[in-house]
Amino acid sequence: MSSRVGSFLNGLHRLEKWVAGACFGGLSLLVLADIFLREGLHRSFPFGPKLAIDLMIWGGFLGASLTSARGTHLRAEAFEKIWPLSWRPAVETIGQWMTAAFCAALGYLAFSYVRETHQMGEVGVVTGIPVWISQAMIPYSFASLTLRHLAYAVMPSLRPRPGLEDLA
Amino acid sequence: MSVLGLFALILVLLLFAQPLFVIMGAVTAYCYGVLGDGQSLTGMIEDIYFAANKDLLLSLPLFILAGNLMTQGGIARRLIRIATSLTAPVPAGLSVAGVAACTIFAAISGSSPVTLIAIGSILYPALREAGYPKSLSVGVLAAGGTLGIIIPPSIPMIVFSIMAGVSVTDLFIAGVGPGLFLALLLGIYCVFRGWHLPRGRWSLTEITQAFREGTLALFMPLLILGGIYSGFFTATESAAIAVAYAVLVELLFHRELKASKIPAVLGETAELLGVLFLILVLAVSLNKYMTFEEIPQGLVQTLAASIQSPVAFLIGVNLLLLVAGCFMDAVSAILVLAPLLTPMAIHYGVNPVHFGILMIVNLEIGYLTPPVGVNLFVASSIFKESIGSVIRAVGPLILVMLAGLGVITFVPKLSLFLLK
Repeated sequence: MSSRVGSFLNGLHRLEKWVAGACFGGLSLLVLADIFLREGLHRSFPFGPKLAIDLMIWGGFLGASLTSARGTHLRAEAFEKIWPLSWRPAVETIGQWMTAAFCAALGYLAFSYVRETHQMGEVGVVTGIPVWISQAMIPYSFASLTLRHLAYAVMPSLRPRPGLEDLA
Repeated sequence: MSVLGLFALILVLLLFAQPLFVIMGAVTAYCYGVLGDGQSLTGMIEDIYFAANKDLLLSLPLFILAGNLMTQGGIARRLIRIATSLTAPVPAGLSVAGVAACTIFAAISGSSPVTLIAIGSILYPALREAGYPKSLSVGVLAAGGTLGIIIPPSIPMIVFSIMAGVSVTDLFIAGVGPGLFLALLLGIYCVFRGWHLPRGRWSLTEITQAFREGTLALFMPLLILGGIYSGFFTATESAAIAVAYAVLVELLFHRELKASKIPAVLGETAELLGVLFLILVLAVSLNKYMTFEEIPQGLVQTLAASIQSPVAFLIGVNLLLLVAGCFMDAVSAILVLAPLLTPMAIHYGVNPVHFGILMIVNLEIGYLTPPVGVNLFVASSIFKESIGSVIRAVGPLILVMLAGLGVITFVPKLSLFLLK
């Protein structure tokens, strides 16, 4: 069971990393295209920077999920050291449940918000793209975070252990 | 009662080692749902979306990506060669070269631990082989690495700009003077500590070859800062130009990055940005709530009643930030403290750009102070020394940096002289 869930989470991590990487590649090209068109050809390209921001929102929220997969979210570690050593595994498990619960609650709120935007039919002024598409990554990201931390709560062997390179 | 509930919530989350994004999110949700004037929790998500929908945020992934691309190959080796060729006849020249290489590398990477790893892992064995004392070698590289966040481009400066509403361009320009000043102080310390060590000679051939190999890497900071300072590019645009320059240089000239590796570098950028992005948008959302409720203004009025002098304020705020730096990393401290302290600084007549630089220099010192000084752990790991010996080695350098902080605090011109 644990290895199947682990394989699923690894596959999800690879997919999310690929999509997030594509977003950052795309946004870099869009900002560069804007500079080139403005400075080189004296043409405006307002669509570029606006779409770049949408891609950043997708990449940024996916990045939050990727960070959980690596176990590198910023945290104040000094406080957990007050627990006796024998208690710490249980404290860590409760902590994972708490993170999952928080992400699930925020994911639900985000889903409600995006549904409202979708129902109102809002579109981007410059891009003409429905706004809910840009926002959809918020509930997805929290759903992915919930899934990951639930798995870490139930199966401690799946929890990532960050190394030296992760400090950077 | 409601405020007590907020503190209890934070305490429980800290005790269960919750990530900062959970703490920030739970506090924001509590403020919106319990303390707020009927603002709905869906409104909080709307604020998160608007916080993420900002032009300036684009500069974060772009600078991280440019730094990642430039550090894929042997750029650190090239910069070290330039620095060692120039500092050969200086007393303790190799350690001075370490400071110089960290300074230049900082202008490419924007991260303190990355700077320490890149320069330290190459230069530490060379320093020890040349007979430099262990304490000097460890200390100067760990301290030199901290320059990563004060010399632009700097991720904490972008975060401060978003949280305090200060121009990131001004912050980048203002960081140059204090960054070079701190590097100078570290260099002077090396010269005094290593006065007795053997010196080399300048070799025109070596200097020429070193520059031939490393000029393209040296040009990147000039491109970024020159573009911003001349007003030709915004910070975001200069970050995009830096990405294009990094790809061209590493693919076509240095040939140390293969095109097939670029998707992996993009993925690593997403992982690095993920550490910041969620807490940043949640913090901006919380900041919006605090501004709406006029909390910073209330704090300013309370503080103004007890502290009259700007000097007392600056001393107090430096002490607060030094303590915060002992327990929090730079970005977390900026997210929490910048929206509260910047209005106070403005009230006492401190230029907000100068205050941003002060905040970053204080938190830069935090990279060297236990219990959570990141550079201590990185140095201990890459130099294979105990944490205790690293702490002893950086002790005198912390004093040097505190002296520098004192000058930067009370000589605002050092930060502001380049601003138009």
